[in-house]
Amino acid sequence: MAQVRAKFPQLMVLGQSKIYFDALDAALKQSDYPKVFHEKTSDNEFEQEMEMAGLSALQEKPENTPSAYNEMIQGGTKRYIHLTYSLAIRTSKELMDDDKYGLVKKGPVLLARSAAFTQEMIAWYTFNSGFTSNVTTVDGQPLFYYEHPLLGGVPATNLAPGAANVIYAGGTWPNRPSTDIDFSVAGLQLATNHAARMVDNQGFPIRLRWKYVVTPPELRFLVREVLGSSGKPYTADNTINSLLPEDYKHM
Amino acid sequence: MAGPNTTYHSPIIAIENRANTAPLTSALLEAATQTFKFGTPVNVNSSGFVAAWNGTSYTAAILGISESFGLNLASNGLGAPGLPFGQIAQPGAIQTYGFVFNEPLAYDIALGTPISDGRTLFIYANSDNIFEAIFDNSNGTVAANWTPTQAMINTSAGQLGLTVDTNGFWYVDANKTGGSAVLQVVGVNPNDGFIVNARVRFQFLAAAQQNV
Repeated sequence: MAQVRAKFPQLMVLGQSKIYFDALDAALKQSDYPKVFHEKTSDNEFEQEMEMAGLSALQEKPENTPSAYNEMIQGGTKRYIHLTYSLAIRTSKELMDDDKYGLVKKGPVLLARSAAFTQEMIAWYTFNSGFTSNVTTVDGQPLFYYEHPLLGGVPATNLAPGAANVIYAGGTWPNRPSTDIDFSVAGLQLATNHAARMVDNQGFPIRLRWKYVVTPPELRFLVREVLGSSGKPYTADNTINSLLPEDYKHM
Repeated sequence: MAGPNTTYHSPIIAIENRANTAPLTSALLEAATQTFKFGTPVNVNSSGFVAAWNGTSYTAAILGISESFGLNLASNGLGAPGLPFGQIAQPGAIQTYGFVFNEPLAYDIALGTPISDGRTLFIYANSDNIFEAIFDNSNGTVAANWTPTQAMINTSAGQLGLTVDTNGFWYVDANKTGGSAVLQVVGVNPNDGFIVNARVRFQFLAAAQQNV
């Protein structure tokens, strides 16, 4: 199929007062995904990553006794395979010549718009697929999971400060509650605690801080209420909004 | 003993098409446990997944010629990108090995391991695409049996079948004619000419093409 004049008779004669055309706002569209994702270029067929755990904590050693030995742990592998996305457009020369509004010539602009949209969708698929086991991370579990296994196993969570406050099973660490929680003060506080208590594979705190609260647009009003209130949201007393110092950005 | 002249047949390749453009190629979800070589006739099985042609069904039987080898998937389409805009899912390789401490669902991939995307890449066996394969005869006894002739070009005498050799590669089989034919010989590789085991050019007969 190609674009031919028979499909665009309205473009053959001057006189339209206005034409609403999708392509015209292409330059105005700002990408969201670079705020969250790092971008790299590659000339490889795939990228491959692996995980390594360091050593555990030092152990007290009585005088003149031998030092204990510990070992690093090789973890799993994650492979990312590059995909190609493409689209083309065909137009007859006659339509190109006879289009009185020059809109058909904007095909490349439309393709750029298509590319921008596609990039967004691909990037955010990482989040959209992160709650199921369709795509898993280096530990074999989804990106967001309440029991990410640690290479250090149970000894790691036994060692981790405050682990009992957040974990659901020994040897694992959550970045999601075992039962999902609607966006709320309590939910965001729990997520904040998950980050504050986040550990590495040997149970050492990594002092993680979330930067963005990423929500669908329907939640924007609720997010403003929770993050924008100077006082504690939904209460009549004078308690401060304790989430404000976290300085979360919403997108 | 009657048989093909060689057991070393080159894989079938697409060499040109009548529109003089890139041959129409596609990738569809591959059936589980497929271990075919590239250059294998493939079709869509009753479950909707691409599998190697069985070589014995002749009507609407061949979807195309594989450009990739069988991935020996554990399940149909394993790892294929979720639609739309999905990623290729784990493991992303044809093989994993070893185990990971405390992470039973994790795995290792040797760096050079070929990728697996859960799909078979193939060139359509349509009437536009022209393929090339070794000419042979599964019941041949003399050189003439293994040699294409001018009389086969674009005539019913050149309507022949395909047979897989013991190494898993397919050749144009002069012993398969009539109801066993799936292709029409349309030429011979000019570097070979009409010699024993010449590379012949062919297109698939309309009746043999699987249209999905």
